[in-house]
Amino acid sequence: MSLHAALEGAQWFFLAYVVLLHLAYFALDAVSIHVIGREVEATAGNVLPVAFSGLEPPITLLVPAYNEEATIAASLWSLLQLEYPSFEIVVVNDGSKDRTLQVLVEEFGLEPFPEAYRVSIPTRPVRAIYRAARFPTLRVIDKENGGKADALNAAANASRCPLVCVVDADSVLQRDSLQRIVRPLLEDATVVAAGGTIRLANGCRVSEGFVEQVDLPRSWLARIQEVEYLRAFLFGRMGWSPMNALLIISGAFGVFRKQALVEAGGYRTATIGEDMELVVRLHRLHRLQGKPYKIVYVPDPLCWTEAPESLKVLRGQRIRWQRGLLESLAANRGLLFHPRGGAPGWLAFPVMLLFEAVGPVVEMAGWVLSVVAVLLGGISWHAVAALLAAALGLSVLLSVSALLLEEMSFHFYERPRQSLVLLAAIALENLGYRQLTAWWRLQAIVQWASRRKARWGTMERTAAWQQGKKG
Amino acid sequence: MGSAPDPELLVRVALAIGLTSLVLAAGTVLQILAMRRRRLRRQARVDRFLEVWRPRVYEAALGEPPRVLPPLAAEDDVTFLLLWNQVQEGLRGPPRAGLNQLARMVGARVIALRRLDAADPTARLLALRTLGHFGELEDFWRVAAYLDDRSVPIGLAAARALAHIDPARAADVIWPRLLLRRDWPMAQVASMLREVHATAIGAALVRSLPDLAPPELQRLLPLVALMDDARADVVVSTLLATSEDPDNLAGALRHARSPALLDDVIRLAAHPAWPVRTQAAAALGRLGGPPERALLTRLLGDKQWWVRYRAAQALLAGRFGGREEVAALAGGLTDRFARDMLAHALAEGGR
Repeated sequence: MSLHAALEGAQWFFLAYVVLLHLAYFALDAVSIHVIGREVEATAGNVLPVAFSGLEPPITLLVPAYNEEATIAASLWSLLQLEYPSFEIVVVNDGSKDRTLQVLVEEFGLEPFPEAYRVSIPTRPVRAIYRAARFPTLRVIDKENGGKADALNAAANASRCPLVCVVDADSVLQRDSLQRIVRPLLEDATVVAAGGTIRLANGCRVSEGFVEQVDLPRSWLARIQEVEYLRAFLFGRMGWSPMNALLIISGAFGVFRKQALVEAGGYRTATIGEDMELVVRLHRLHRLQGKPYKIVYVPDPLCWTEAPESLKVLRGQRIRWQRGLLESLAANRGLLFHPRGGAPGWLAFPVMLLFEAVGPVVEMAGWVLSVVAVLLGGISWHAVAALLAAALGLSVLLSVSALLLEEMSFHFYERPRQSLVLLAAIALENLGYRQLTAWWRLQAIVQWASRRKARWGTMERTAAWQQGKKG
Repeated sequence: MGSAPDPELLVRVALAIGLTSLVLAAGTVLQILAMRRRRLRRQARVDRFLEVWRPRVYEAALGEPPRVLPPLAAEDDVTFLLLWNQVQEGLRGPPRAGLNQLARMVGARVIALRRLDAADPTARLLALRTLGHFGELEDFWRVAAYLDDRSVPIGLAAARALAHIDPARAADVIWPRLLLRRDWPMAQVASMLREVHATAIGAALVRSLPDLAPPELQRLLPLVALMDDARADVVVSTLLATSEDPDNLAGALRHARSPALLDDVIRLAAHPAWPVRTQAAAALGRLGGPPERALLTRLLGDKQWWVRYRAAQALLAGRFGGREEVAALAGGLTDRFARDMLAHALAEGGR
């Protein structure tokens, strides 16, 4: 085979890969459109006041905090106002180097509490446990730094409720998010975990700890991430859920049956993507043991979080996410094509592996090979332009279909200016942003393959929206 | 891609994919704009409707004589049902007569009957709720048909409406569904039954008790919380005497209220399953007295955290001496786990 033929063959492979990748997501998109109709039915009762019976299972909110002095008090004030009949909050100060603990002590009047602390899941040593004098349902565990997974395990140890809900210390929930996310666990005893929708708070107006007015972020970097979040949640999650093949529940907002969490051994501390790893592990353990279970996505409970507004922070986040994905899949590779793997093992896992884990390698190799092929005279520039047009067209169609799902479900962005901004962000995403994030993800793959130690890095948050200002 | 590759074919295929995708994307944008236009037009109509009708519905809720009402267009009838039900269900007590009078003036019952088969699930739900508030006996079987709707909110709304229309007859049709509809969350069922008094359902549970399989019984046991003491005691004592299922024993102990059950509770405090011991410890806190103090002190040293915790809380429930006495007991304990747990419960303030 001549070099020219090999180069052209590579171009065909690249085109086929891009088409297949998008077809997989269009299939999820189609499932999501169907699911949205069902969700409208399931949530029909939400238009009327909710009457609690007192039989709702109590929930422990697990709130890990590391250097969160800027946002922790506001977040907790909003959590304390959630509408749910019975819940407690366990905050874990995971060896913060800033004034997180002092802020908590001062704001909530914490007092040392002689807790008979139970270690169901081993963690780094606990230094002290506090309880809020004014809010007996709020406890704070002060422990040595062990990372987010370790902090969540410590909080789960202290939980006294059958359900636990993981919430990031810098996130904001809707008042009714808790009662909505818990719905599938009340209706079906086999549901072991449920995840909600994460939306970007950048640009929103937050008052008294709750989002009062939704708007798009001001920076283009965050606007493009808004489009990514729409895709990720409106069909990335919604599409997998009916097949019981959801492999990710965001660490910012998800609810678990504590018994399932403890029996699985809690969060894995040796991974940087503890949220995804736990969900993939729950699938693996339940599937391989033949235990009935469901892991579901519920679209309407919302959690608002802040997206990075600088390239440096975004790079760190994307490297973490990619490494987390690789670690989660590698740690649970026994699920892949296992005879009892079902939809997670035969569908979701291969798709994640082929298009998300390996995707950056193929994408970057495709572009590098195209340039090389042109320079060597193997293919023409207009062939590369045509490939780019195909990739761009498919990507734009996929993102626009996410806007369609947004219009069918939440319809937060209905002003013409917002629509134009989102369409511009969709176009811009393909002109540099996508390639940049693919490059970062490729770096993450190299780091992971070379067993370089993962670091959390610092998530610099402006938290301007928490003060009620525009982000 | 064979032995004689055609470079132009790659260009043509890629361009065709790109252009087709962009055309479809443009079509999708147009569809979004059309949907949004329809939705905003609908919303504007709802806003105009609420501006006119909200004051009238609130006046009716306050018992003020109704004003002359504007005609209610067919397009607005679901909005009316929504507004009327929201006000109706936000109220407590008697002023509902005014609201019902207003609903009769606009023919809300006829609207609700018409909307029972609407494609929109919210319209169906509002129709069922409205018929429940009207409480007309002749609507009973029409509403009962929706008990088996596959949608949980619709099925529960039908059950609730039936219980409003005729509580006694409703129990006969709701009870079999409670057994069948495992997707009905018990918390919502309880909320519905609490609103309409669960006496008849309680009687049905007592009657069916011997025939229920352990998983069914476990699912329905929380309803004992809604029963009067006499019926609850029948259910609990029957289970404590006959059941071997640990989940059901623990569930029954959770609802033990009568001192006559104390012997069973003491016996089950030594059960091999820790959830049973946990609930036995909690029940001792409600039913026991000074003679059971030694048993609770022993349970403080149980290997399970939850048994120790409930035993400590039980000791502080007030039936085994004051806080000082319990604190003194803590000082005398040699088991570190028992001592820590009692200190924990003392710091919580007892329950």
